[in-house]
Amino acid sequence: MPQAPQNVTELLIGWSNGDKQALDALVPLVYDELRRQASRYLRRERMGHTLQTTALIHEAYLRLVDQRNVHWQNRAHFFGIAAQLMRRILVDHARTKKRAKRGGSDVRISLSEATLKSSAQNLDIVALDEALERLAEIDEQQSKIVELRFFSGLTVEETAEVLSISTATVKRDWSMAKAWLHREISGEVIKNEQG
Amino acid sequence: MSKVNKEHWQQVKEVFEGALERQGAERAQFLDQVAEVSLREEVESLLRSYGEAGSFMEAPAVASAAESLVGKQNKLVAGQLVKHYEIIAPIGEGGMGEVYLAKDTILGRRVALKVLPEYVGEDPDRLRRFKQEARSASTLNHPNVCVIHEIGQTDDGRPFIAMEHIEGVTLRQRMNERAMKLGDVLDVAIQVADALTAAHEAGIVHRDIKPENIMIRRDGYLKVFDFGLAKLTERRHARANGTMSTLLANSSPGTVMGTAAYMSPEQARGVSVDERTDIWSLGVVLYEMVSGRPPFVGETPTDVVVAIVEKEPPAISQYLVGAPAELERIVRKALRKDTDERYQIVKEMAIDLRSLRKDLEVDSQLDRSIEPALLGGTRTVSAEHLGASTGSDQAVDTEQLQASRLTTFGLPSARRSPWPMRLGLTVCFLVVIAVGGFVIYKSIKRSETSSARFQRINVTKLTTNGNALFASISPDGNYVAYVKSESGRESLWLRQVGSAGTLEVAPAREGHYLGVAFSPDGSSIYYGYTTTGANDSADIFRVPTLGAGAPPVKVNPEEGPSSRSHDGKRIAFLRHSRASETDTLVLARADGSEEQTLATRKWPDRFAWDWASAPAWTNDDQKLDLPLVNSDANGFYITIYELGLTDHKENIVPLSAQRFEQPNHVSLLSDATAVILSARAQGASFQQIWYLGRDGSARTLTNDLSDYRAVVLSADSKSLVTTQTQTLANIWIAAKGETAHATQITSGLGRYFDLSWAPDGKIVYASDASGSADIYELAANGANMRQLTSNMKRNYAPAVSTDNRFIVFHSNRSGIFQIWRMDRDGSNPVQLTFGNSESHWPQFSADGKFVVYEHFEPGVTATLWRVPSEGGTPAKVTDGFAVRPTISPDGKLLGYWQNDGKPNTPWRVAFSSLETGKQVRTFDVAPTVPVNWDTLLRWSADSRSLVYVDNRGGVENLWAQPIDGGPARQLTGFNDSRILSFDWSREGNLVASRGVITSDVVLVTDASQTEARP
Repeated sequence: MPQAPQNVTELLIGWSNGDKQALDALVPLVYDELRRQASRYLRRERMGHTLQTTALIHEAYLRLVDQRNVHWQNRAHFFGIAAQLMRRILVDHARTKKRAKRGGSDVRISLSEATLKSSAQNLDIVALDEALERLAEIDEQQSKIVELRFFSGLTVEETAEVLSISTATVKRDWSMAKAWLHREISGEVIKNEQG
Repeated sequence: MSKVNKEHWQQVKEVFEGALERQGAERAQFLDQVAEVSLREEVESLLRSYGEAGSFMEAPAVASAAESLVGKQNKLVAGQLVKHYEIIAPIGEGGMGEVYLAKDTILGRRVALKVLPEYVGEDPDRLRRFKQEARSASTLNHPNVCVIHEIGQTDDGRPFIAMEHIEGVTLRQRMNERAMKLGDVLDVAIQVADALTAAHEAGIVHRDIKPENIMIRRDGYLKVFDFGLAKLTERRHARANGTMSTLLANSSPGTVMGTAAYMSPEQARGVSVDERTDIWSLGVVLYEMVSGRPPFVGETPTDVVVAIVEKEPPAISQYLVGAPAELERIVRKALRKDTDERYQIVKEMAIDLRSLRKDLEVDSQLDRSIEPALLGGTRTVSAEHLGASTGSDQAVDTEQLQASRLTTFGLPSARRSPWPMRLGLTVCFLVVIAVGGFVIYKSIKRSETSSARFQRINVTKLTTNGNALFASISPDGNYVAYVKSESGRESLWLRQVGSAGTLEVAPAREGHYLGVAFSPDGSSIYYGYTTTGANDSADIFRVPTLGAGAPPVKVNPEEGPSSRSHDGKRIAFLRHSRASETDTLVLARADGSEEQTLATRKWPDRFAWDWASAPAWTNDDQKLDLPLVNSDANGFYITIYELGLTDHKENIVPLSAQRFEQPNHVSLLSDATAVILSARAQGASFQQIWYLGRDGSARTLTNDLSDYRAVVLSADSKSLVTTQTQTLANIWIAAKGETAHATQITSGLGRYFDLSWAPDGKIVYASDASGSADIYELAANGANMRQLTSNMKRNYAPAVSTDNRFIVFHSNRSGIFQIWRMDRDGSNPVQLTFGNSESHWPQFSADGKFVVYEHFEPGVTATLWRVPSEGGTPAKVTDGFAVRPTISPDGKLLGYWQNDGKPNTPWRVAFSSLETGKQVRTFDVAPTVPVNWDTLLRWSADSRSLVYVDNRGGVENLWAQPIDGGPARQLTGFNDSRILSFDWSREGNLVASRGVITSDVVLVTDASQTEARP
């Protein structure tokens, strides 16, 4: 990261305060860091080390944000922002990749096969993101839990801490969100749609 | 699915969670209790989904994105920066990383950037060893070894190698393109063997010789790269069977075969290897070039390895009917499984290959092709896919890249007249071009090669008397005009290349010739001449080249030679106005009409090196090129100025970042693919001829202990003339100054400068005979020579303190020449002077407390200063212009050369009181005393005379000027040789370096085109 951490910090604050331009500036910075992390992730994986995703993500943010100079409302605020940013970046990345693969068209292909395998590699992050948007309208807490756990890589315990809820609640909500999202993007007929 | 009833959702949630807590029948029972059908169906659907979800979302998103995130990072895109390298385009990919064409944004040159996988950088020890090895391979400076510019790490931690960008194809591609002729096969093998010889002699083993690591340029010249890389990238697994682990580590599946095939048996067995592994691999490559298939093949890598270790390859004659038996023998000897039976050094193999080539030349067998019909089934890569050939992880250009480069650079075949300038001239003279003269010029076809002229050269000495001063070659390359000096009188001669006959063009006379040149049509010779030695007052004359006896015509030219566009419709040339000190780039119709000023520069900015440079047209006639000499704190460097004729855009094309001292005769090749100049590399001791390719390459055409001053190209740039100046001397000692009994204490022909007696009776001196200028000491009997400085750039002018504890000298080790002090044994160097301008010629005061030296600021003046020997603040000693200080043995007086500080004013001997700084007296010297800025001056042992060299009577001897007045008197009675340096001991013993300075005209012709065919 050639940029000064302060910039990232300011941008994060700006973005959390609703400054859209801050996000535009933030994304490429975080993106680079994310790539670095992803590279390390892969290397560790190849070397047979257990992946410590949480540590990975935390490290990314600690590198980016000089927390001494930032008065985050609280830890939850920080991770909340971080998770949103991570989600944004990963989804953008996936979207770009998808477009490239299909020669620019944005047509969604059948996901059944992919989701049957349910492997991380085959997961359609773009579709998941869209489904998560819908979930947020129904159950914001579940969507936040997914954001924190899936996009930001927090553990159940950390997620519980950030959201000030019990771990049992996190687990329950996570299960349902997982079921619901999986059904959403695997294309099963939605039966509970109303009006 | 936009509006969902929250209440409904809450119900679904409760039921779902409740069901999830239960299993099997209990769950079914639980769900049965749900009365509302839609609610139950919804929960059942979610439960089904939950069951199917498995690991869905269990790995964090970054995990699923990691591959593609990293994948994206792997592929660098155009414009992206890796450190200071800007990616231009990908040019290759393989198991060992990707290769990109990139531009060094600092040095402006093009490089091939190989980015290695990250794991390679994980072992810092191995990376460090690799760096060392790659560096030492690079410093071999061997023409067949690819130069590595830098090894570094990307911001994300991947090691990269920035190396010489080579335009050409890999041997793999070359083999795939078409069958190779036997002569080409031997050419390749010999060049690889040469590269390996140099590497092995430096203790470097390549370990991965294969066709993918050999690059053939279009001119047939070959470069081996990736020295030592194999060792870095192999992943060692702690397995008993090292074979496969080593084998597979380097290779992605598609490349295993290729890598395995060139492996030596010892590599295959996973035991330690030495340079003989390279001999094996070269044997495999040679076998494959001839046979069209590698000697050891198999279905799987394991089979290949088994074959390498156990089987004998089929005879080459099975594939090439009538293959020379000697070739078979050479291949067999390289492919001996027992390393002790193999060629022991690759040089032996090179010798055998060379003599085979020679034998075949006699039998004219070199053009024999290896029949493609006999090729085995190993050619899996088609010619259409060369750019992305399997396993080629090196710098290869795709066809598109080649094409685009040709378009971008253009390959003009401009005709231009080379123009010589006498070294050190500040004023050039010019030629009025008779426009009609251009008709004689024939269009020069662009040669097949882009930037590879003078790869191989033939050198012919055209004069042998050692008295040639400078020379020029006619545009057609058939005549050489040169000026020689005999007994102080200079004359101008013409000689036909290829014949021994010479013709006097202008007679021997007093005064100096200043430069000689042919007119663009070759019909006239121009020369400058002055009677006073002052450059400014030179007149320029024209005589017919072959019109013996015709009187010279005085001319007053302002226009440099012009060059004509390829369509023949336009000419371009430089015009210089002495009055306004401006250079103008002029375009005109071929008949000289409709002149149009394209661009103007006012001194000190200027076009080209001088206004006698002819512009070169690009191939499409769209641009005009001129060489530019630039300078910065590190020295001079060369670029190409390019002007678009339609868009009028000015563009500077960077060349090699090599910095020079004393660049002169900077010329563009006629096809504008390279600049040739005479210059001394920054820090080097000798003036050499440099070739700066448009691709950023830099090399010397000459490389010896001579100075090549001035270089003039023929119009087709296929030959050039230069003068080779050699200084050869020995040290003589004359006890009590009795030259009749002088004895020579060194033997052979050396180079000894700046002699100085040490108080212990030894002689301290500077010599550049090893290629770098260093300080040495020698006993007075010529024994016990000892080097006191090394590896610290150029070091001159040692002087020893009277207590014999210290030596002061000047050295450019800090960038520019400054005064340094070191202990008598060469240790503990301490810099005494600093700043942006140079200081020279230090002398210790008698008490050793301070050092007097000459401080020179270009364009200002040279004055004498003193600085405490321990270091401290310098103080000015003289106000006026003074050089070469010398302190009298009694410590009271300071002698020096002095003049008015204006050009062309006479030098006088002068001395001041060291105590007061006041100048005491000055003396005129005879006109036969050749004084310049560096002319030595010494005190006699009795401190009563100042001694210098006088060439009176055409023989150099020492003469003494008594400081109390009176005529100078001759001290020595030498009858021959030059006196390069001398010093008197306190006892009155003389030491002198005496020898000859020879200067001869040398013709260099480009042999690359004829000998090397790709």
